[in-house]
Amino acid sequence: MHRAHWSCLSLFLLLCLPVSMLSAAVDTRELNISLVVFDPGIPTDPTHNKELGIFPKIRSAEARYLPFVLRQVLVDSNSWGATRVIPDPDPGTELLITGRLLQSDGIQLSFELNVSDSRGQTWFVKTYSGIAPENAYQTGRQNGPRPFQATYDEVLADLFRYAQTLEPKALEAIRNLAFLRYAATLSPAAFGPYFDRDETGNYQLLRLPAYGDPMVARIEKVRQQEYVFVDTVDEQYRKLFAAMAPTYNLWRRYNREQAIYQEAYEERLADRSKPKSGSYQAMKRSYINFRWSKIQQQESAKLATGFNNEVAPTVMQLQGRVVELEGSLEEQYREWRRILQSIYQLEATEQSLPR
Amino acid sequence: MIFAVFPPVFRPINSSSRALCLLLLAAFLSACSNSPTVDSKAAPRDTSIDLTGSWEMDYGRSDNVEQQLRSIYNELRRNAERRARSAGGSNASSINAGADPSRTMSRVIDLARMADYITGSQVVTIEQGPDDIIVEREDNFALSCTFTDDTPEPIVDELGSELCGWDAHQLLFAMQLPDGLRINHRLTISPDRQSLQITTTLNQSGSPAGFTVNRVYYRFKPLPDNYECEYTLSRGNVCSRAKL
Repeated sequence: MHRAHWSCLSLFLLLCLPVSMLSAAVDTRELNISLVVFDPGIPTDPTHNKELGIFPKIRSAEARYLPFVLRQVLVDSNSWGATRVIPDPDPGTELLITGRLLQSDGIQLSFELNVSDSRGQTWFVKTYSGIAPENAYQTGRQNGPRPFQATYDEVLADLFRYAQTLEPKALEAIRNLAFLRYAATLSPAAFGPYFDRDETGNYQLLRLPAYGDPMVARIEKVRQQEYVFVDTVDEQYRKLFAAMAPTYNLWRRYNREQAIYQEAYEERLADRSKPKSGSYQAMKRSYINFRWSKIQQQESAKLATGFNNEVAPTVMQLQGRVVELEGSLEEQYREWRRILQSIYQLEATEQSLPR
Repeated sequence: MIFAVFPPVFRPINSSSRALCLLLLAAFLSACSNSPTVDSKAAPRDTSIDLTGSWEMDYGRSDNVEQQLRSIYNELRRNAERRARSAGGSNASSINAGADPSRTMSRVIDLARMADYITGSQVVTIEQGPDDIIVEREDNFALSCTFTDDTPEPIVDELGSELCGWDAHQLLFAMQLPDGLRINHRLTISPDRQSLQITTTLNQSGSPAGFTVNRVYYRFKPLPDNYECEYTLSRGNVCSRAKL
């Protein structure tokens, strides 16, 4: 069965909605979603990484990879508007999803998501956790469910559940505010007065620009250019995803096997009779156990190096892809927004010049 | 002998200075805690020290565990004789004279066997960076340490806990295993950077004395490798001819 079908099927089972999606209060396909690259959740003190089983480079790659998996789940559901992965939060986003990785070790995946709309209203903040089934990383299951599919489906179900509570008027406000907040980043003086922000951080729509306002047309034009750039960025994430998927699944599979073996080893240890405390046999056993656990950790580190050796060139290629703009993809994105702002200012000045 | 070659930075610990060493170790390792701790008064790191290199054991300059055991046995015997002569008198020896000598000897032998077992690596390869170090030991797990400016905190799991850090020019690794076995490795490089000494001290809770063994390594240059290999997850080691 194709992955999209799995997604739809599990979504249906999860939701068990009393009404079909077609008769929902709002058509969620009109709502665009931006997924920001996750916070990798790496502790600031590197000495804790080993203890927590965190490999920073892998976490950084996962922070780019996992939002893309979620994006695929949303796209496969055919129920949302354009869904993109972006490096930084964007004020012109209708629905913004940010996340932080809490745990990712092959057996368990945990992340926290914060979903908010352009009105500044938080839909929900929730921690998602899932356990990979035994056959999650078997080769040749490209068409089967993804590892942690149920976890992603839970996210999808929560998004739908919240969307069901929206009035069509609210959806309209979300779309208008997204546009106006974006416009205000380019021309605060012209577009700032159209909305207000209260003390709780929520945005209120005060009025709309006049029909046929030439400034709106200019903003639309700039926004389309930004979409082209964002789609290019999104394409880079798609390539990273495709290049990384086989290696990443292998890494998670090895990790899972190691963790299961460790658990079984510790169980066997508990069953054995203990030699006399303080004796050579007791000390040796204690040391061998410790040595074994260290070797396990070091084996994981070696796997992490193998992972980095394979994935790093793709990540580096991703970062240096867009020519004429320098720095990381995140910096390029910011630079591009500055350029767009300049283009808008220039155009606005030209329009106001006497002919 | 070695004392004359490397004063005062690089000094093997003989049996007479064992008492002092044990006292220092006691300060380093918190006996009442389940995790090893570092003495907060440890000297600041000497950043010029670099232990990087390939090292091979110099058996001639390393401790002989059997000889050490013989000298401990002789000391215990002397203590027992002294005690027999003046029953109840105080004793300043590093070996607890109040304990049953045969029991003490048995405990020390166990520790010595363990020390011999732990420190048997013939080759040690060290890679040191600005922020971390990996000490690869043949037939044993690698000792690794991430340097921090703050007080180091122990890494604890069910099978043991460990702590590492610099004490001026010496790199320390302290491990505490379940059942009360404490292992302390102290790595010191000679001033000419051609020798490395690893001093390993074992203590067992309830044991009247610890056991220290010094292993001295000399630097060697590994044979040049004509291949550059890179480990990859899906294809294992991928090697290519090294660029000349």
